[in-house]
Amino acid sequence: MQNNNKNISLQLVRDFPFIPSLIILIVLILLNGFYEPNSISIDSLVGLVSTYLALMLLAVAQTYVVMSADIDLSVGGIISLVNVSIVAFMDHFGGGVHVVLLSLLLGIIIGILCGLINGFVVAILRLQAIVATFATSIFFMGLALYIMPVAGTPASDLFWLTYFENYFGIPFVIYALIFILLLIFFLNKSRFVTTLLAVGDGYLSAFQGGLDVTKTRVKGFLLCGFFSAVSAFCLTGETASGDPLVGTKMTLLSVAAVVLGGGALSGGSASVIGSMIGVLIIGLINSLVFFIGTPSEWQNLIQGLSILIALMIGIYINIKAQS
Amino acid sequence: MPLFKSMSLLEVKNISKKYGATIALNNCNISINESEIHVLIGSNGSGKSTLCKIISGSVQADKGEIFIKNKKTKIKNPIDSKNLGISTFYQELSIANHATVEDNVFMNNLPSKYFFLIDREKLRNSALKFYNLFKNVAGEDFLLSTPVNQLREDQRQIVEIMKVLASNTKIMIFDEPTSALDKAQVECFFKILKNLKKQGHSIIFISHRMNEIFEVGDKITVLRDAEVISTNKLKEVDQDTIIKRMIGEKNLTSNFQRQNNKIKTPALSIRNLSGKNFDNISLEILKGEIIGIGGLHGQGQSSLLRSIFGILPIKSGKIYVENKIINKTSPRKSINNGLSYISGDRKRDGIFPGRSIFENIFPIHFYKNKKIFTNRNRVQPLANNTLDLLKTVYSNINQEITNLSGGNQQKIIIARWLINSPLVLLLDDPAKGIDLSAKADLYSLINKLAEKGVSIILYSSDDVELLTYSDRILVFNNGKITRLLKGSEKNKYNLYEASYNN
Repeated sequence: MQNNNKNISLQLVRDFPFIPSLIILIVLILLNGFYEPNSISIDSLVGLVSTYLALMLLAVAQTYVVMSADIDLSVGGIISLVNVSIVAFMDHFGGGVHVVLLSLLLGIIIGILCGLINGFVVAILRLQAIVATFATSIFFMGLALYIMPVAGTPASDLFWLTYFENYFGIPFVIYALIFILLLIFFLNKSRFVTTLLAVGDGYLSAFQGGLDVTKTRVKGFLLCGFFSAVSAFCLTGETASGDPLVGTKMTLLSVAAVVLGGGALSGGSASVIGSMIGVLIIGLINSLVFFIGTPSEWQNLIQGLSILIALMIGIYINIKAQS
Repeated sequence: MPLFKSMSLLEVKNISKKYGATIALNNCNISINESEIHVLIGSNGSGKSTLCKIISGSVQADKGEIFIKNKKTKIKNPIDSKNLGISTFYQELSIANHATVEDNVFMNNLPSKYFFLIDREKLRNSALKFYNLFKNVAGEDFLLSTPVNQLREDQRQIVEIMKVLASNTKIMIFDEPTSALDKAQVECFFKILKNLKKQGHSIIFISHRMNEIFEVGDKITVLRDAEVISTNKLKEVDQDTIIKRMIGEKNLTSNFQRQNNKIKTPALSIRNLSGKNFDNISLEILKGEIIGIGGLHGQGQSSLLRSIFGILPIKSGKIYVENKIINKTSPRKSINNGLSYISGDRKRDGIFPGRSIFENIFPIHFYKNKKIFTNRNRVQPLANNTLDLLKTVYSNINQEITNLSGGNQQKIIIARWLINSPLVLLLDDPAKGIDLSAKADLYSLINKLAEKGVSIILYSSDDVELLTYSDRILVFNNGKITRLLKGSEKNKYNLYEASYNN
């Protein structure tokens, strides 16, 4: 009987690889609540989401390339580029409704173009994804610095006020989150994501099976560019200004979040929801370290160790489930 | 014969293909008619799979033409071939491991609704049609919603079969679809094949099991050494004729006598060894003896060698080295016990790419010596001697190994194991993909080693090598030793008969 239960739970992990991270997430929420009872309120959870919404979207973006066994180290660069572009655009043309909407369109186009460049060098020119996207990230960052050499240009008031507004008593970020979740939900049921995962499972067998490997990988990068741009919108709303270096630190966090969420960098298996949970785990570890009262000089060390432990637990459970 | 020609659905003319220096196909012609099951047969490396891959677009021919319904066509990739009505069962399977059975079956053509969503209901219904064909033989744990990586090998082959069936193309190619299937599954599959034939489909079928070929085939084409030897109606030929055509004119017999005094002490013996892909194997090898392991590719030979060396785990059975039992094998332990393992797959098992010849030769020596520091000038001559013995061509010992040709790379790997002379050499298809002169050097060295008293277990996909150099040959079939050939029995005919019979 016990054995049977164990099998069922392992089966569950196999079908939903993000379950270990979900458990880690719940434990972390409870721990946070234990050390700081206020942190478990609706308000502070909404705060958590709103702080990390940009990173969550970036992790979503990263997941779509990891699915096809690629990696995109330029997502931080894309964020910076989109951030400064739309801020500069709004600054130049004034902050009217039309300008704000146009700037969003501009941002999406830039994100997708960046994805196209990545897809071209990685899938068509066949350069190593890890090196090629590192190079393009420097290129994107350079463009961002050209557009806005110093940080600090404010975003249009309309833009960030909307982002922080409550509608019918519910903050804007929650609407944004729900919209994104719906989009992901439908994408998950799409032919495209199924194909993307099949390609990630093995380029040769996908090719022999009659799938267009190159095209699929390029589309993965396009989707990544799109979500990076949306992530940049959230970041711009959050910071209300342009900063050409804003994305630098986020790239590797997005990769870590994908792995924390049960995604395999070898491709074929990654869960978008898992990656979003991965971001929340990183966020909650950060706040927990603070709530425990860790001396500031130790905070980074404790954060790093905790992320490492969370990673190990997740990987250990997944290995158990696969064998 | 204009009438005959108009009936052919697929025609391949003068196809040639080279991989580096090896000729995979030489001027091959084949023609497949409507409503026909056409069998391809030939020994390892005779070009069957390459031919299939060229027709299915995953490999490009160097020369030659392909006609479909008498119209010349170019097949640049598998998508082209699908569009032309060809679908293929790949020996190495083209399924995605994390995807479910139903997703895999329709991966090329997922039914959709609202433009981009998968129509799950429709998918399930269409997949059920093919699932029901195999429901009774595939096992209880075979469900449409199971991810493929949780299936057994036979079930995975069934998924690949279902995938081909689902494409419902006029031409279907099956490259060894039955290698992991059991009897009931094979029968079920054959019933489907015969049905397809009745509906007008043309089928290319590769199998190494003679009885299967005679049961289901209409025509048979024999390939040998990259060339098409003959095409006949199966009614017109018998097993004997086919095997003789696969062998060629001469029935090579070997009565090779080695100059050694046959020390009658066993170097390595294994008792009732079972592991991945092989079952209950016992053998004993004397000092100075060469035992050949033959049979078709992938019948457990390689797994046996890898398990003896400790790369793969052992399920049951015992291994003795010089009458001393070895518990819990591991490569390190095996090296300490005097075993060596040389694989023909140098990229996976052999070379350290990007490192020098020196660095590629000495790791085993250093490991065995267990010294922290060493004097380069003192050890380097050891390498030079061994490399000269192997007639290795290189300019400088500090040269990067990947700058050498395949044959010379392989010689470096062999030198790695010979510097400290081994007790037992496990050779896992060591001459794979190297040129003829390198092969000759290699085997003359293997001979010399045996004369010095080294015991050698040789698995080779080249039957001539096997017949020429082994004292005894154990023929593997489906993970078991089915026949022992020694003395005058060691000829090609016996080897083929034992390999292809089941």
